[in-house]
Amino acid sequence: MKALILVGGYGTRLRPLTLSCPKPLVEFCNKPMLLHQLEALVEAGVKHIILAVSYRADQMEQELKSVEEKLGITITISLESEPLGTAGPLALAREHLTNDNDPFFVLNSDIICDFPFKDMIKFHKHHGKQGTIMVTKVDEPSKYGVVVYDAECGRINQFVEKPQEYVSNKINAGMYMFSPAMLNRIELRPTSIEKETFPGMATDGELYCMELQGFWMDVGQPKDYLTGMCMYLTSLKKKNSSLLYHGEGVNGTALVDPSAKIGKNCRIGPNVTIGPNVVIEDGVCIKRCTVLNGAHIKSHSWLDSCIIGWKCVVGRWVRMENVSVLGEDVTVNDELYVNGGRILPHKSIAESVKEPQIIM
Amino acid sequence: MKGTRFRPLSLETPKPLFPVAGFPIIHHHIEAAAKVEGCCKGGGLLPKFGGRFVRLRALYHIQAAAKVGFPIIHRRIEVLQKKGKFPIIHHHIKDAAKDAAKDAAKDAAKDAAKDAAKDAAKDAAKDAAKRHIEAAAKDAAKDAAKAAAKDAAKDAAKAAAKAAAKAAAKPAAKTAAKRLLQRTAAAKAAAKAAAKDAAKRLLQRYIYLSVPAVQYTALGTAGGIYHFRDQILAGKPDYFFVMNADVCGDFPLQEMLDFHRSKPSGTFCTILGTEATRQQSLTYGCIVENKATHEIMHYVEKPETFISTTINCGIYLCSPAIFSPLEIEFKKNLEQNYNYDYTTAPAKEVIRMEQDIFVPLASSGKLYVYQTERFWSQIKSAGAAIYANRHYLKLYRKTHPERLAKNGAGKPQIIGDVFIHPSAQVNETAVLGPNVTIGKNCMLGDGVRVRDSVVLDGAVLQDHCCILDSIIGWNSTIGDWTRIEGTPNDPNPNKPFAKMEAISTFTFDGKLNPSITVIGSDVQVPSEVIILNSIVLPNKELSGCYKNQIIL
Repeated sequence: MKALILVGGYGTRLRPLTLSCPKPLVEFCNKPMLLHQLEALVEAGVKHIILAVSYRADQMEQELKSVEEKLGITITISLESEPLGTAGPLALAREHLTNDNDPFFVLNSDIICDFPFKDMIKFHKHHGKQGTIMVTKVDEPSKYGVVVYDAECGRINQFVEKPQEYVSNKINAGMYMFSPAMLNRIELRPTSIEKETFPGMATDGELYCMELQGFWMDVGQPKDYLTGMCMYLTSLKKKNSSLLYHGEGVNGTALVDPSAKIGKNCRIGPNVTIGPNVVIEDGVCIKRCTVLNGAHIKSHSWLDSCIIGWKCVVGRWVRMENVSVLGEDVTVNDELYVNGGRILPHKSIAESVKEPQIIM
Repeated sequence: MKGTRFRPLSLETPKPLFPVAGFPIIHHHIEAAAKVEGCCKGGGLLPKFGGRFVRLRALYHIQAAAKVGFPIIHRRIEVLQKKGKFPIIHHHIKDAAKDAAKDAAKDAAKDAAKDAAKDAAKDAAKDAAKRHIEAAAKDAAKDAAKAAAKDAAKDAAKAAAKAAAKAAAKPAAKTAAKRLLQRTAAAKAAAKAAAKDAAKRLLQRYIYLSVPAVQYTALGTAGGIYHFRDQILAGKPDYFFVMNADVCGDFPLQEMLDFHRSKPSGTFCTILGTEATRQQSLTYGCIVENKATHEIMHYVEKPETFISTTINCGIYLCSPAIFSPLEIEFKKNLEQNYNYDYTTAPAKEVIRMEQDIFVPLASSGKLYVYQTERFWSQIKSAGAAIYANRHYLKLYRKTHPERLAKNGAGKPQIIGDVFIHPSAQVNETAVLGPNVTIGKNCMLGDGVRVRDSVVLDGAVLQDHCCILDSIIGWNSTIGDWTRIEGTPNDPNPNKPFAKMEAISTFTFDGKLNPSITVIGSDVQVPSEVIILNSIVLPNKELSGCYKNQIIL
């Protein structure tokens, strides 16, 4: 079985992290985002994965070599010379997807959830039509395009973009399963699967949906990345995962790499991910943050809702909050306040960032 | 000077008593004056006081002044303001008398009991009785002293006598006891007399301090000096200093005195001057001097256009001869009051030193300016207190190095100039400085960081909190990992002679101008929050973060 992952463009929404690392390789809960999906796909029996990429193919290819071996799968990179939207990449990868008659998965690369791939296969085979999409429930459907479907069998009636009045609270979760016949609907040009392909399929009665259980988050931007992290950790906790950290100074759910060092009198958590080789000095308080590989947090600092990039150094008595994101190798001097700052890689911050802003 | 711009801190303490570098602002004036040679004989101290000087706390500087031998005269104390049934002055006098009576009674009772016991013991025939009486008398004296300290002399002496008599009730000691009783009665009378006398003395001193201050309106600097002319001239001083309480600096008083002496006799006054920028000079009194002789040729208070970069520091050295122009001005005022109606003319006795005296006296050869390049600043806002704190701490290196905290094993890390009151408890993992003052009985927890701040008496700073450019009020509590941060309004370091800008509280569009963060007294700030560029009034219990706000 095969899967196509829509990696797409530059990941601008997750800058400054994506300036140093292609988005699929940015760690989410101590694992590259892509790996969360790959592992779930492999578990569902997928052997061949096609990555639809429009930039940085070389770096991705190198990084993925070891993953291929480890998971015993084939990864093909399908490079777009121009961005092809969400449907175009399917047409581009047509030869890979049609070399047998099996259905295949298509995923947006930014989503995090308990991937229900096995259930999707079952459901898809059961209704026997061209496409299955996963839908998820949201609180404020007016912000999204919602899916109106038959609750009994799951057949989709229509899509409504940003509804003014309540019609449904289910939205497209960015995970699909298609039969190869569906590819006949897509031309090789920049085109949107949601806006151009799905409505036609729905009209023809070829599109079914299935509701996702548990958490779901599009983690394509820092704010949602942190929200998604909280959901993921909560789900780990529910599953009583042995991955969670229970060492000294921990306060609520936390994921700490065994190579990280944590000092005395710290308060770590809830909802904190600490990457490999991170050093946390004494008396540090961290809540709702991700600290990436090799970062160093000095004594008495206080961090809430931040992403600390690779090899950053955060000084003593620093206060960081409000979705501040430090790119790779940023230094924040002692006693500063960073409120919602997005700091580009390799910067040294010597003055407080009191209002949300981007530091070039 | 009511200190309204110094709120909310001046809600608790009159501005001149606000501690900077561990001591009230005015204490630094007194210390500077005390160093001038022959100051007690030749000089006097006239703190310009106003407004809310109604608390017993103010007794502080009476003591401080007494220590260095100054008579201190207050002006415009609102003593007639009523507090309960009686005017405030009544309470002051009552309290003072009470204190005096207490002290006197204590001493008198102690002495009397001691003497009586001694004599009685001597007279006692038997060794046993002697020993017994001695012990009894000792106890009696002790009890008497204790009791006396609590109540008035009467009760104390009685108790002493009773205790002594009771203890000495054994037949062998009967006669001795009788004598003791007699003596105690005498002691009682003596104590009473002594208490009365002491109270009277103190009452006199207090009245001397306060009665001239019974004024309905402010007098103006010169009006005040004129009003207190008798007190100032008592003891025939050669010169006297007049110092405004709302300035701080490294006052070159001795140099002023030497300078003044070198000028022709009959010189009225030497003004301490300093250099300001062209722009900032407009908000001060501007002085044009003869560069060779330093005579003042022209004086303008707060001119509209640029006059001179030499400004008046509010520190004057006067010869008693100054009273003659003051008298002329005073009489002129009186005359005007006869001729014009009260509503337009200033109140009867108001004589402004600057406009009414210095302006007309310029070019008369009677006024001189002594220029200083040492540190000097006005203390108008709370931000200025932080600035003054830095400079007074720096001055301690020269004047009182023992007051500055030092690094050492088991002590917090000190960066630059820091004053820590000996009673404060500071965890050794804390890092303080530069420019930090920690008040009496403060508690600083694990990993606390304080920089460019004043922490007032009894404040509690919990673990890992960070205090920058702020004033923490009396008995306030700051939670774990909380950050209190202000914005300093220090003089522009890129301009020579720049002074502190007196910025207004709000901008034109109604936003709070960033300034020092001030946490009022008895405020509770929770853990893990940030208070940025805000002013918190006393007795608040905050529940979250605040930025650029005044919290009522």
